[in-house]
Amino acid sequence: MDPAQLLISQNRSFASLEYVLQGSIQDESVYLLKARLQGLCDNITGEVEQFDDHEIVYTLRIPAASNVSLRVRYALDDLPNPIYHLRYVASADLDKNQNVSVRQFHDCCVTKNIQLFLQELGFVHDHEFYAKGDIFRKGRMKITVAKISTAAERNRGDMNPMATRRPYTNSCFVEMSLIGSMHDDKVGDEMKSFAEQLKPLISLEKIDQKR
Amino acid sequence: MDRPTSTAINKATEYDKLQQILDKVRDLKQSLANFFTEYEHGQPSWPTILDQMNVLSSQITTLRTSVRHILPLLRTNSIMPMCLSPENDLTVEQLTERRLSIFNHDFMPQLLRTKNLPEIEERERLLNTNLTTNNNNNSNPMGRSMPAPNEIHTRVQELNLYLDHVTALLRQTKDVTDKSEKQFDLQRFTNQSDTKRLLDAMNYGIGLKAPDTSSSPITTNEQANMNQQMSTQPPRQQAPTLRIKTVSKSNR
Repeated sequence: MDPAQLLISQNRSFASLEYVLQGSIQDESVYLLKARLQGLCDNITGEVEQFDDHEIVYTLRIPAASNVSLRVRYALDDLPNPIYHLRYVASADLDKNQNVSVRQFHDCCVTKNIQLFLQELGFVHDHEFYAKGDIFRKGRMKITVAKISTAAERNRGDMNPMATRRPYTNSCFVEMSLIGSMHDDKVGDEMKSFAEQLKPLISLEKIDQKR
Repeated sequence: MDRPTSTAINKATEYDKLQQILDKVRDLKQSLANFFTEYEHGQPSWPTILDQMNVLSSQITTLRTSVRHILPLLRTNSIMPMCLSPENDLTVEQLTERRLSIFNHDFMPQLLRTKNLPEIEERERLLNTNLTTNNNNNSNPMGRSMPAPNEIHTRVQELNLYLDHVTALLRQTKDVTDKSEKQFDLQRFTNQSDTKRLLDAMNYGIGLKAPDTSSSPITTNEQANMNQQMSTQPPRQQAPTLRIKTVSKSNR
């Protein structure tokens, strides 16, 4: 029996929810946050894991229903043969009981044909950005501190991306996320208590529901 | 100061004050007794002696202050011995805890005396005169001669100088430490507008959809910068027919 069927038969709840808290910190103070996170988080080798990713968002516009967005992400370090990562995140549910945002989450690794594939499916290139920063882990939690930059002009991956980057703001984007299933109750408290430790440098909040 | 019944003081508050003084005296007696018992077990250690002396001195000071407070009251009242008897008086004995058993005309003047003994008077006189003359005096705790007025003046100036120096130092350190604290508190680590923009960009893509120059159509209604060109090609908004090409390529 293949693994998917095995899982279904065992009726194990599939981890398809992402619990997320987001915030930002100014560039000048990022070093403080990094130092604090380095102390607080799991730190096996002593070195901080860095990432430099390019994320492209494709959207499928359905006239009757709301748009579907898929995010294609790959690491710029892996060029010329990067591993593409396809991710679907739904919009976060507004849940007043929870102190973190919860959203549906699916992801998988795909081949490099994905961009073409999505375009053939009808997805349209929506926007893209570069995220460069560090990633910290604490237990099941993952905290990323990243500088978001946009491309000065669209490129298809042939040119050197660094040459055309332009930071989006003077702040770094911080996100704390945890992949869990529906039955994880204490996750919100766990994340919130860890977020408390990062105050007053940064206050991590739920995703604001404006739409 | 155990007073036999005095008829002059009748009011309750004054009685209470007297009782307070009485209590203080008792405490003082107790500490003195403790001090002497220490000596019975051999020479006590210097810290013990210091402690006892501390207790004694504080008790004496409190006693003095309470007596000073009650002094006007005492001045307005006078005690008159009403009866003196050469026989044992049990009440007196009880009151004085068996120290005095006969209240007769030998002891009464001692008890109600208001003038110091001659030796004490002499000593006090000496002390008072030494404050105003330049004599060497052993009772001066420093063991040095009392300085002349101009010496006093220079000394005072020196001390003032040192004190100014010390206050300046203290003020400096206070400023430095206070400022660092305040600086940290006032520091703003997050920028609200930046936060908003980042969150919008990451979650909804607002602000990241720059107008691009390629021909592929991008029409959005949500973004702020609406100055992009409307593509002439109609956007593919209908669900297109799926064209799945299976290419036999060797994937990585």
